[in-house]
Parts: sequence; C-alpha cells; structure tokens
Amino acid sequence: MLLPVTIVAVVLGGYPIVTGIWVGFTNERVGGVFGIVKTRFVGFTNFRTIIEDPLFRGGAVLILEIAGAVVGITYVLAYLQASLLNMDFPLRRVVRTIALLPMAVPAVVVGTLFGYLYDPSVGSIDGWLVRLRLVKNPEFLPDASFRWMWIAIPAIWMALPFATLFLLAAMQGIDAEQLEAATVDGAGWARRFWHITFPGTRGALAAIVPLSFAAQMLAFEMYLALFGQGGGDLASAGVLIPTVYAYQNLSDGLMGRAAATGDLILVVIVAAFGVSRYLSLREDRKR
Amino acid sequence: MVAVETKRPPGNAARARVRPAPASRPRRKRSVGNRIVILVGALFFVGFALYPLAYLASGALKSQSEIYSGFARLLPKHPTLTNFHQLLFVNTSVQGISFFTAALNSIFIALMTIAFTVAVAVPAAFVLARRQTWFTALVRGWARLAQVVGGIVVIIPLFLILHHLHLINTLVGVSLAETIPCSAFGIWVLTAFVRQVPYEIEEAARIDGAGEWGVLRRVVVPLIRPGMTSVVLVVFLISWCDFLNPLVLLNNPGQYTVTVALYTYIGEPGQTLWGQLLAFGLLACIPPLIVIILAERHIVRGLVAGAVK
Repeated sequence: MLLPVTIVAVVLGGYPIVTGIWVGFTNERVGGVFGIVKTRFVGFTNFRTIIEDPLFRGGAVLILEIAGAVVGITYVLAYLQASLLNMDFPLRRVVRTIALLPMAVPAVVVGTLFGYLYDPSVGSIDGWLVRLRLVKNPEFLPDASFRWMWIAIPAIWMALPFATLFLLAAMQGIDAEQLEAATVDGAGWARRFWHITFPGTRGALAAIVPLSFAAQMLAFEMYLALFGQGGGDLASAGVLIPTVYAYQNLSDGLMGRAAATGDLILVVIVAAFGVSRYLSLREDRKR
Repeated sequence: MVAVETKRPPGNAARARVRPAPASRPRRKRSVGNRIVILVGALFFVGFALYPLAYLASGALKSQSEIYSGFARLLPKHPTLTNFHQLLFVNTSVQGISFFTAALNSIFIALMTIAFTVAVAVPAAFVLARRQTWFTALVRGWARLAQVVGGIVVIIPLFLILHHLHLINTLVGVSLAETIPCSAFGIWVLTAFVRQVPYEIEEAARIDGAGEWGVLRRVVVPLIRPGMTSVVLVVFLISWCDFLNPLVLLNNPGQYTVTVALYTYIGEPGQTLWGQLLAFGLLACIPPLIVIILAERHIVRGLVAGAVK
C-alpha cells in the first residue's frame, strides 16, 4: 500500500496551513530581542491591531484594486492574444514563444526592471510620455491618481502568458467545424466570439480566474523590488500591501501578527473561490 | 476494452488538452483587412512582451554614465561588458555575495526540490488516480489548496517547523519548503497522466506477480514519463524563481540564491548601480529562458494540465 506516501503529503501540506491559521491567534514571537515570551491564545487581538493600522488598511485597499484591475485586464488581453495565436499565420510559433518569455523572468527581476523603467531619472517610460506630450512633469509615479495603473502593468505583464496559454488550450478544445459553419453562415469575428468561443471557454475561465486572483493577492517580491525603487513613493505614501506588511512583521519576529495578516489574505482568497463557485453553480442551474 | 474505458474518469485528458495548434488545417486565403489585424495584433503582443526585456538587455550593456545621461535609448551608444565584468569578477559583492555561489545555491536547491517532488508526487498521483475513498478526496483537496495558497500564508509555520528541525539556514530546508507547492502541482499533473495508463497493463503485471511498487516502477513510471518531464521542468522554473522561501529561511549571505542575491543589490534609493543590477537580472533570466525556449511544449503541457481539474 502506498498510503504512507499520501500521509507524508498531508503532513507536508495540511499541517503548515492549519498551524499558520492558528499562529495568527497567538502572540508567538521569534528572535533574541524578545527573550522568552510564552505563546498563548490571544483571540482576535492581532487582527484588531492590523485592521486599525492605516499602513495595512491603505495597502489592503490598494491590492484589492490592483488585483481586480490586473485580473480583468489580463483576461481581456489573454482572449485577444489566444484568439490571435489560435489563427494560422506565418511565424505563429515564434510569436507564441515570444509571448511566453515573461514567464522566464523571476518576479523579483520584474519588479527591479519596471523600477528601472519607471525611474524618472534613468528609465525610458517618462521619456516617452514627455515626448508623446502625455505628461509635462516627468515624475508621474508620485501622482496618486494613476499609481495603481503603473503598478498593475508589471503584474499584467507577468500574468498574461499563463492566462493566454490556458485560454488557448480551452479554445483548441472547441469544435473547429462549428466555427467553420458559423463563418459560412456569415457570422463575423465578434459574433463567433460571443456565441461560440466565449461560451466554449467559460468553464475554463471560471476555473482559472479565482486562481489568478489568489496569485495577485499573494504577489510579494515583485512589489518589494518595485517599491524599493521607482515605486518607493508608494511606501512613503503610507501604504503597505498585505504581503509586504506580513513580511515586515515577520522580519521583526512578530509571528502572530504576520500570521494573522496571512489569515486575512487567506479569507479573501477563500471568499473569491466561494463567489466563483456560487456563480458557476447558478449558471449551471439556469441551463 | 469497454471496462477499461469506463475506469477513466471523463474530461481529464491532460494530453488531449494541448493539441499542437491547427497547423494541419490548410491555410485559408485571408482578406487584406484580416491580415492587417493579425499583423497589428502580433506586433502589439510581441512588443508588449519584449519591451521590458529589451531594456533589461540594453541597460545591462550601458555604462553607469550612459544610464544617467537623460532619455534612455534602446540601443546603447557605447555598448560595454563592464557591468558583467564588475559583477562576476571584480566587485563580486555588495555583502560578500558572488554570483557564481548564488547560482550554485539556486541549482542545488532546484535539484533537491525536483528530487523531493518526484519522490512525493509520483507515488501519490498513482494512489490518487486509482483509488476513490474519502482519504484520497482529502488529499486531492489538500493538493488544490496547497497549489493555490502559498507564499506568505505558509512561510510562518514553515519557518517555525524548520526552526524546530534545525533546518533554518540550510539549503535542504528551502528545498523542503518549495516541495510543498511543487508536489501539489506535480500530484495534480501526474494524476491526469496516470489515469491515461490502461488499467489492463497494470492488471497483467500484477498477475505476473508484481507488487504495488513493482507496478509503479516498471509499468506506470515509463508510461507517464512525458508528464514527469513537464513536472521536472516546471519545478525547476518555480524553484529558480522562488524568492520568499530563501529570503526568510536563509540568513547567511553565502547561501543566498540568485533571486535573493539580486535583491541585496538593489540598495538604497538613489544609490542603485543600475548597470550591474540589470546585468544581474539578465543573468538570472538566462537559465529559465533556455528551459522555456528549448522545452516550450513540455512546459505548456505541464502548466495547462496542472491548472485544470
């Protein structure tokens, strides 16, 4: 019997998550500074401290905005890119390979790289915006109203290849004859998309969107690296996105508070999965 | 034959999902408008993917003075390898971290993670694909959860566990931490592949006297090798790009991985050595780029199979 192996798997995976949730309700600390603090159950104290902290609150709002924008824009672009790659044209395979390349870039490099591009004194983006007369003042990052947009771009850049691949695989599962028949009947691109492609990929989309949302909520090093440079104004503007907030508590040895931040992220992710499940069940019932 | 067919749950065809695109269809004549749309679309997406990468390469080839000389042009005026030379051979450190050491650490961790993942995921996938009990349902649910939820949510208990096991500041500890999401991914992919192995072959091996492990090793493993290749390659990518685990679980600069070493190069705002930093970033991308370009099909198959049920 191979059950021992699966037991190992459960211990490896289930235990950390359960412990992680539990630590959020304790005052666990690590590090010499604190000496020995007896770990005990403290109820919702950590959660109250976090939620009352404006650094966290601002960051939580920001990441929810970014995650929503990133997931929405990524899947619109992914549909376009997947439709393109599903067509037959010269150099299609080369275009597909190039479209996948961002997957090879570690997220910490993505953050660094966009920090470079955004940096007003060395980067190229400000220069282009000034040349195209879109902005007068080259230091756009401190401009709060557009901040989330600039932060969303590297996240979209990273998320797009996988989203495209996934939708492309779903599109290739659609019966080609059906599309062919619709074309013969005179349906244009938009109608074919709306009546055949989109319904044919909706199941795949419902499965993948909450996963992408979770990935956005858990994104960490890209922001750490980005905020270290061009986006540094964000941190000084008084917000810390939850993952970075958790990491700061962790580096301070405040395990309980870090874990509680993690618990809050977990709650949001689980809620996203719940909503998605509810919506697709309701869709199914309609049929 | 019919009995075999029914044993396979429907709709879980990892292989069928990623068909090589419809190249077999004869190319239709397209209208001019159509071609322009395709051209513009292709240019847009290629540009979107390549713009940052092109600047990564271009910045890495510029001298510090050129980087700070106003508008950043794509083609360096005086391309130079100074940054790479400085980074690799002269100024090997900001905090005593050499790129070569970091690369070796990253490779070692990746290989260990691959070994652990295969050791956990292959037998687990075999069991999960062949048995349906409340227990396998539980493990499947866990594999889903561990695949979705990771990073900062799991790092705290992991830190505490590895602390108790005296595995903090060891490369093996980082590998173990990475094995959690990687084995969840591996289980997910390989279960789909095991389900495609005809049950008859297993039966035949059992009648010939093979035990569970014998069936796994001699029959199942050779048949799911394409899936294993995908898992190994994707795990390499995940491990090489991982940042949080080595950041939290390693304190000694001599053990830093490439990603963490890169982060220490960022420095204080305004004091960044952009040329060297970008050169470092470029070098960090090269192993994954090679893997993706050479093994695109395997990676795509693995990723898509791993994401769906």
